[in-house]
Amino acid sequence: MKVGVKFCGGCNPYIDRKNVIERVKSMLPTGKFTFEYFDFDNCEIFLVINGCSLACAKFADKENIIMVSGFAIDGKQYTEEDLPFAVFKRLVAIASGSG
Amino acid sequence: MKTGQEYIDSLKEMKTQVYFQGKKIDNIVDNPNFKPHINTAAVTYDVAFDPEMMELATAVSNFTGKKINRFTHIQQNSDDMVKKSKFLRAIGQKTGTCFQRCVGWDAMNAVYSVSYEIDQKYGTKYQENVINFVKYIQENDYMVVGGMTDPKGDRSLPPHKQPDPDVFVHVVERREDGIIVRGAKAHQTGAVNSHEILVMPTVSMKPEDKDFAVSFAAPLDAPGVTLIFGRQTNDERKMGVLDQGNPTYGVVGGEALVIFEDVFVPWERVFMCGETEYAGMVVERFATYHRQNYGACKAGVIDVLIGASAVAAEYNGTGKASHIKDKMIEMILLNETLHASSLAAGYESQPLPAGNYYPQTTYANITKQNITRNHYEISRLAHDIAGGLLGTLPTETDLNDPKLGPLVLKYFVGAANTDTLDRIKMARLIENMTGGTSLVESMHGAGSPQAQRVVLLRDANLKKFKKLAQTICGITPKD
Repeated sequence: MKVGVKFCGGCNPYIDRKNVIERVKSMLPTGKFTFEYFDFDNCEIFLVINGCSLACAKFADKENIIMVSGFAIDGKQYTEEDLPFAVFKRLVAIASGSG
Repeated sequence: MKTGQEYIDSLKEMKTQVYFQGKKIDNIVDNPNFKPHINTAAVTYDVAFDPEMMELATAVSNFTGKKINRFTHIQQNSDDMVKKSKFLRAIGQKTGTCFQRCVGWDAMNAVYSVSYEIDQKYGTKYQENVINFVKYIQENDYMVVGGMTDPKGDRSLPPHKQPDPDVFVHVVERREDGIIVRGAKAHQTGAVNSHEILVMPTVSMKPEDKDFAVSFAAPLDAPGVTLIFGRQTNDERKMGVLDQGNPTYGVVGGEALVIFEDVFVPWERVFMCGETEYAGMVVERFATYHRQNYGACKAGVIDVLIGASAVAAEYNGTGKASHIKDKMIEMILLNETLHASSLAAGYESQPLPAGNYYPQTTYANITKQNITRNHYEISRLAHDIAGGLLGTLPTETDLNDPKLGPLVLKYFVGAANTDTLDRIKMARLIENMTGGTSLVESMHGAGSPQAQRVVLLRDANLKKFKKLAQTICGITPKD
């Protein structure tokens, strides 16, 4: 499953955006997901990691988007500690067709 | 686009004539006096390839449709103007100091807009020259110095009346293939580690100043160009590590006096020559673009300073004290105020006749006026929080001495579970970030404080405000 990842520009991030993605990767089963940062053609899931609630980064005209906006995912609040696991659950749910 | 390493490698190919402390510098790349500034500038290149920053760090060229480093971009809309502010803050957070490249960016945008208006009036082809230059910069991802500030000599005299005309860059000869120029530009940020300089006039001019109303681009290693690097308060510390505070990126941008001794500039690189009534427009456009930045790059740098102050308080064991928290609040308030006005200048930006976007003038000038105060106040609070050791710490030579080092570590111990060396590092960072050179840069960069105050009064809607008050009082305004 190919996941396209876009970060916001990081002007003043409240979360460690890189750490979020690294922790999500470490939770996923090996070999089942690949992550693409530059070329988003042929991606099936889209993960946007914004450093704050302004959520400057977006994917236009895509489906299966997980939007991290600071401490929130798709509007629901988490602690920074719980954020990666919440992203992981959403990824797995979408990949299995139940999300 | 170049990576940071490719940028550094490109500097090795330049033959820039650089002098410092009486010596000609043949290898600037490995010279400790310049290395921190080069490292900082290299960050502006590397961020374009960093997924965490490229959303801000790159743009699409309106000329070629190719992806470019945002520092070479002509501002196309208010989104670009806002991204500029956010982008500069993001880099400031990484480097903790000036990264030099925004001056040339603003110069290209200013000259792009003014050359268009000169062409409209006189049928010249200056903007075509500017566009070709910008395309060249974008294609090669070169770093451009914004050559605004002349030494100026006697400030009470216009350029053409100066006893020595060389205190303003001017044309000494017009030829069929180009012009010969003479003079100097002072306080040129990043000059020793840039590729090109974009020269602009620095004051409004009258017809008698015709030879001084000149704008052009020249490679910094063009024959006749000489650079003398400026003294900084941390010169000798660059020979060491810890006492620099920020050893990787240094303090401020590194400024030089750039001298032009009968330098030839071909016509295709000339963007203004003699159109004196547009000199003031170039100055104002450049200044406004640049003043917006001081709530952006500086906001990022001050974020680092605020963080350093908070850490220093923890290392001191005072982190939970209410007066410390109050000082932190004040620092945050002052810094976010800066950024807010920089963003406002971007959100409220409007297109110029040339089509590129321009910051809202009042907000850009407020931003700059406020940095001349807020940076000093924030620095004062940092000094207050961190403590007297900022001014009295023994040198790193003492710290590295086998007999003296343990004594330094013993007597500068801080809170429990704090590594004393970390405490010293943080103190050095604060000391260097708040030392003389960086504050002077905030005071005078993009124009001294009075320059913004002139614009603020000029642009204020005072006539309307008076009528508002009179109306509320039931007074009929006398027009």
